[in-house]
Amino acid sequence: MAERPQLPYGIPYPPELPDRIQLPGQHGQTDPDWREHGRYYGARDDLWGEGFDIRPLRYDPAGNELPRLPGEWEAQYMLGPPSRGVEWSDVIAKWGLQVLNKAGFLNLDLDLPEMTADPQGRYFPNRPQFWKDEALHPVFRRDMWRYGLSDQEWSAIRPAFLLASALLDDPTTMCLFNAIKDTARHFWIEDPLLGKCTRIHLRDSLTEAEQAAVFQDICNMRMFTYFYWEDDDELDKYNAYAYTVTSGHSAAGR
Amino acid sequence: MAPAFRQALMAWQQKDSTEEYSGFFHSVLVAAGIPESHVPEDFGDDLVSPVLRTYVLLAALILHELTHAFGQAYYDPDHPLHLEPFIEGFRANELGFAAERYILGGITRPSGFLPAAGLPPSWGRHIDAYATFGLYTNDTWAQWLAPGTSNRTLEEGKDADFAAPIRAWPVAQRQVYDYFTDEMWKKKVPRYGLGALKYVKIPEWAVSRMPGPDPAYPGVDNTLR
Repeated sequence: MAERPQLPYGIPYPPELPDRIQLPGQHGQTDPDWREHGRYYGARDDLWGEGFDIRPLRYDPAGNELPRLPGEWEAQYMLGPPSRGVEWSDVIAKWGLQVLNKAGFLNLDLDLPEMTADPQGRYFPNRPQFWKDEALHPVFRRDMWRYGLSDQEWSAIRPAFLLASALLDDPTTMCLFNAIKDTARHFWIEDPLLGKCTRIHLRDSLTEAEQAAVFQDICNMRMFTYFYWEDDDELDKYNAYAYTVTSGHSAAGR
Repeated sequence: MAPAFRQALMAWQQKDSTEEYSGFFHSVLVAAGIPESHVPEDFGDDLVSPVLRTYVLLAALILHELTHAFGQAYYDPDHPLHLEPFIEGFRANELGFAAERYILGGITRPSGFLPAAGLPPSWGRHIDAYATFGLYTNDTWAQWLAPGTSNRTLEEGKDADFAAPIRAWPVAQRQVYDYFTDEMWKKKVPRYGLGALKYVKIPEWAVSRMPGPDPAYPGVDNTLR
């Protein structure tokens, strides 16, 4: 062992599931569908902690796992969907929650990271002096909430708005917003059903003057939009976490 | 914005005085019907990892919505359907998801389950807002959606999209954690830019939804590999 390169973040290698499987009570091998067949496998940490061992699990016709045979090791982790009757995301439906957790995709035993200051994006030092008072991007500040927020609400959500601010305050991110507005970056494409559409081509970088203009364009969104907490009934209509509406335009949900 | 985020994040702030936050993780196991044999070790004890995921999810969400709003403010949709501009390499007319992929290298998704029939849809938003079961990322949206005037996906690139699996990668929690460190914002981002932040998609851990036998309807009888 130890010949394989290490995976990022100290993540171990996943359990090596077979390409073809033999289903209980059936002859011949078949292609797996891990949503259905993951539960036929159990895993444990391998001896070196670099990955997982797997072995097939056996079930009786009623679907109850049969006891281990002599010499079979105890499975620490169950693969496949964690429960029947609900539809799990693909990542979980294949690996199961226990393997994902052990591998470092779920919970880590770490305290809250301690930052000495609010995160600042690369563009922050170039902002106009007026907007350098806070790390929060002008469009993500508390006053963007039309109906206000309590102090508790704001302190609860603020870390997310700071992270979004730092991501937005980046010269690479700015290339996207530049291209949405700049018609010189718009090209016509012809689609058989949609007809003539615009496709934008992003630039790799912007000049300082262009960055300053994009920053101002984004700041101007303070006049055009706002945040508020939507009723669950309305979100149900869009099946969305949030949506953006401008009068005269269709809604874009998320 | 979904009040589910307010609820989850305010509950987290009060986690030391009320059991609303930690209690959610136990009630969600019941709602999902997960037997004891399939519950991860110490599930629900770590209350830091999930809140960091919620912050990332919410940050991606507001960037997504801001991009839509920016498009509505500055782009003239000279089109009968008021289409947004397409972004090169993205077949769907969805500026928000295209922006997420551009900035973080993938769309930010909460892993979880669809609530059983009978539960209100808002339950799904709560499971997602708590980011209970981790995050995953993928780089397409509506990959298997047929072109059409209401679907708003392009014909160009359709065949390749339909023939390809829909891939998803779990996001390492350590990466989520690193978004909230001085090391990231004072050293890595100044040096590597957004490259320091993009989701690391570990190929060995990718899962693939394989298209079904009929090339015209890849979703029918698809399988998970």
